[in-house]
Amino acid sequence: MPAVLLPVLLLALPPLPLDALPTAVRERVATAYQGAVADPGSARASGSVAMLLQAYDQFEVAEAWYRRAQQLDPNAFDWAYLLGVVQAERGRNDDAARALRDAAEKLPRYLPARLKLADVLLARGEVDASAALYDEMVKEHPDAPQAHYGRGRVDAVRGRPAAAVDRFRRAIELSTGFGAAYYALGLAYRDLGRADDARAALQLYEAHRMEAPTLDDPVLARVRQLKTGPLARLAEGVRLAKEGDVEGSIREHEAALEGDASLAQAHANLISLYGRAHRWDKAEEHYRATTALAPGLAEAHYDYGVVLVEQRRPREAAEAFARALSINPNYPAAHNNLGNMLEAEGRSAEAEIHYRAAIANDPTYRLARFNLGRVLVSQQKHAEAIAEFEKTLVPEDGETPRYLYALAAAWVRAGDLDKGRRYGKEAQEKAVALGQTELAATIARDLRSLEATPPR
Amino acid sequence: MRITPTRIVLAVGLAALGLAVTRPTRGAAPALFRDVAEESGLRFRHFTGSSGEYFMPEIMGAGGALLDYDGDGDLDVLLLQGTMLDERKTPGEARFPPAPGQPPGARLFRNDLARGPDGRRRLHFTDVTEEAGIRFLGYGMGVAVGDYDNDGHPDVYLTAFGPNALYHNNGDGTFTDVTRAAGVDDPRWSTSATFFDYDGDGNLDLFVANYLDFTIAGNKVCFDAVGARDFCSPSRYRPVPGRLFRNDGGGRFTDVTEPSGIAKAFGPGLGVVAADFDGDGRLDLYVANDGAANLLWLNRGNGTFEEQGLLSGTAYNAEGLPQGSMGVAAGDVDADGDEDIYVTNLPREGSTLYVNQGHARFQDMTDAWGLRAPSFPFTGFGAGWLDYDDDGRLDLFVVNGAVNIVEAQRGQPYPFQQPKQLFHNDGGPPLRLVPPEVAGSEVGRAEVSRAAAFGDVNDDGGVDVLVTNNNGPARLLLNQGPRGHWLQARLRGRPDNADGLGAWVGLARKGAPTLWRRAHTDGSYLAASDPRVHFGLGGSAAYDALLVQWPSGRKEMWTSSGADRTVTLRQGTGRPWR
Repeated sequence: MPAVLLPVLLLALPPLPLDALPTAVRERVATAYQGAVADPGSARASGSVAMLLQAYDQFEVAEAWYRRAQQLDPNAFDWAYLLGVVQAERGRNDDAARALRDAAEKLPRYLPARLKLADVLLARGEVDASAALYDEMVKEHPDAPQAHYGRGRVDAVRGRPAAAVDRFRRAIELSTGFGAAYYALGLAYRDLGRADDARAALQLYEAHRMEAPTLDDPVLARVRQLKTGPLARLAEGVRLAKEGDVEGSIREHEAALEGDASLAQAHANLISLYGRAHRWDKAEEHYRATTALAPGLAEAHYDYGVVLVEQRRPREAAEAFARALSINPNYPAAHNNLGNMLEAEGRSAEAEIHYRAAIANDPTYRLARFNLGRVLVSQQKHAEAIAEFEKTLVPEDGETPRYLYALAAAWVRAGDLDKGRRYGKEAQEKAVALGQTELAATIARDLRSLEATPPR
Repeated sequence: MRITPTRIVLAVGLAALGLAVTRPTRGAAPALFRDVAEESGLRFRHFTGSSGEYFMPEIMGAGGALLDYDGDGDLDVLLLQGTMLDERKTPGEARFPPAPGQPPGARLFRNDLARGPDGRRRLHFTDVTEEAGIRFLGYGMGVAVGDYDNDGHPDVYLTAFGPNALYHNNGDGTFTDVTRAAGVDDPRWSTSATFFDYDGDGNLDLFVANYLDFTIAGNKVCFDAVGARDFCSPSRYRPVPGRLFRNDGGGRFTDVTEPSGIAKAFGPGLGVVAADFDGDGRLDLYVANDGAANLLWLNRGNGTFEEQGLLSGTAYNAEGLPQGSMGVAAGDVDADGDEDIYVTNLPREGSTLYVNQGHARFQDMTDAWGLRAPSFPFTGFGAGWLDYDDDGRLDLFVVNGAVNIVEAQRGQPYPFQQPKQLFHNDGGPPLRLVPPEVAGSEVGRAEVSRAAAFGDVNDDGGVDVLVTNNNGPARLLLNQGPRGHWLQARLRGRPDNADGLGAWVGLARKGAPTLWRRAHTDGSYLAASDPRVHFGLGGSAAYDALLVQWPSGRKEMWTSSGADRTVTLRQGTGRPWR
């Protein structure tokens, strides 16, 4: 036996609980495993098993396989780096720091490895080491917002909010949608006693909460690409829908269904996606498929109801909303929309009940309050209506002019023309400022007629 | 018969286990905590009603409470129970049928604590549910305890997936369901709740956290990372707003969720604790939300609350990320006179410690206090600050149990089991994880734990822990470790609420900072704890005075009356202090 093979044989293959995995994943992992068995001295073969396991969040087993890959090829960057990433995912920061340090030494220009290492060091309380690493990155990669942000976090941990503010602001200059940086900036301002600046930064955080600057990490990207199959396509479809890419989302959903036609959630999502694309026949087709597979998906009935509203089929829409509510009586939007349908039929008392139910299940649902206010006005319950309209004024956004206009009208109906004028003017000004010209013109016309009204 | 290699291994394993149990090494101290539930008659096994459909409520409950319902001075136990969620099936058809002899519904166990001739305390529990008139057969979740009518007898509010119930304690060992008359029902999925006097009128008000708009008919099919069926993330459902009920006296409550401002924000609420986080003398609320911003409601003193989670730094962790928050514990871990917040979260998030730097300005100091790494692999639920060794410093007890399949347990019948954890406070950061061989095998035992309630069950000056387990037995972890001197204060309020819940109690000592603790039953997860305030005194039994700031703002002090005992502080009998 050649001496060089001995260490390889001493490295036993890590355990792999294949039987516990669902069939589709099991087959893929088993194939990779066979590769490792066939070529026990190949780091790449073991690493391939690890990458597949990591892609499916099987971190514990993945760690063992990465360790094996690293032992087989101690000079490879990929295995050291991915080992560190997986260890960090498991909260094993001591081990992760070792692996990532090893990786960063092997390929110092690979920024993601150093960022991860600096982050792990900070979590371990190695503040100085983390700061030194971030300083290096800031120097070598001055355009990397993550480096400035991380350095700011070190300052914040050290109790130096002024220095942290500068770092976070630089990070935001480089990436204007950097949610975490806005959050950290807000808290640093707060610690400096600059409450208004803190609030402003935290507001921007709320606007950009899910956003982060991109970080080119081709090694980790290769791992993520391994996760395939209908559920992965569905997840990608959902992601694209959130980004507003309706056609891309439809494509991914259809691909998911090609792989598994029984994915009720994919059918259900396609109801609204095709609705948004005004492809009514396809929306209808997927509604039927959904209800055949999972009649209890309240969202499917609701989304179908919306599609029917858009097709001006109110009676059927009301039935769809009612079906959604029979499954989930706490569904605010279904209550609101059913209220709309009932109101259109002149059944305002029933509409009021549904608007109130919508609010009870979502007190922040301004549209339902607006609708309730309108119904109350129609019932001459002006004080109650005004109270509801007032609650629609916060937060201020594109809907605010409309809500202010409704409030103005309620005050006029209640006999307080001064307040009606005041809110009406405010509504008009905000509508103009927001470019809502049609609404502004309508309000202006009403205000003119109000001016012509003799004072009481 | 041929002995297979597997059997040999098993035999060796059992022998080794036997040695470990029966022959501790010479001089080894007994474990700090020992489970005495079974031997003391506290026989209860939680039933999830699981039918294989992965209904979310199955994995979230249930809770429990320590309360002295019969006024005999010792703590009794109340435990919530599940039932079948799929109405088409019987309990016998459940994946895990009810334990033989386990009666349905919430169970109340009376503590018949007795001292033997040798002076040793003997715990014994008797199931008194039927005679007490507790008939709560819904899908139980949590419990809040408070004497809402100030008659000297603690009442209980039980939450459920379905209608909740308020049981009035009649003072004769029985309860009456007064939910309808009191006007405090909520038919949605409620979780934790707290009795607290937010308006300082001496009557305990009630906040109820609600979770998701999940319904059985609308159950969704969800998968884990490898495509296996699993419980859904809360993001698959919509959150349901919590409710605040003002106690108007006379047994009536008014829903003030809207006028109080509490309706302005909400999330999938799981944990709640009331404390004075901004030091203005008024009780605020902190609500732990699952996968959404946690909410800090600061009490403005005019009947309204203002949400300040974001600015306070307690909405999200240091990276600005919402976490899957479950349980919450408030306590002065850094002994600087204000309350810090510990929140339990999902695995790969780690729990979060928000340290109060005064005036409700918090910093996420989880790493500095050494709490991220030990909590990182686990799904934390119940948690509480307790001074288990009576050294005057607040330690931390956390119970864990997954809600999604634990990778290493895949393929097992109930792959959600995780150990409980005890952390010791050596006097400053970091807290130190007490190894299971020291804390006790029951602490280290992996189960699917949910609630943890804290209190001195056998009145020996050590804080014990009641742990509930999803699809498992309730545990009563008796504190049997070495401890210092101690003092417990039972508050008797009038005109403040009868148990002084919410009062801020200080123990003043010469040459040492005053220790501050809050009288409370809330916090943790789905749990209610001993309302008595517990102080560890360490090696010295000496202290100078007990200071009390009542929820109404009134302040009184009592000079030392000795240690290693429970003292009763009656409002109006102390001296004023400023």
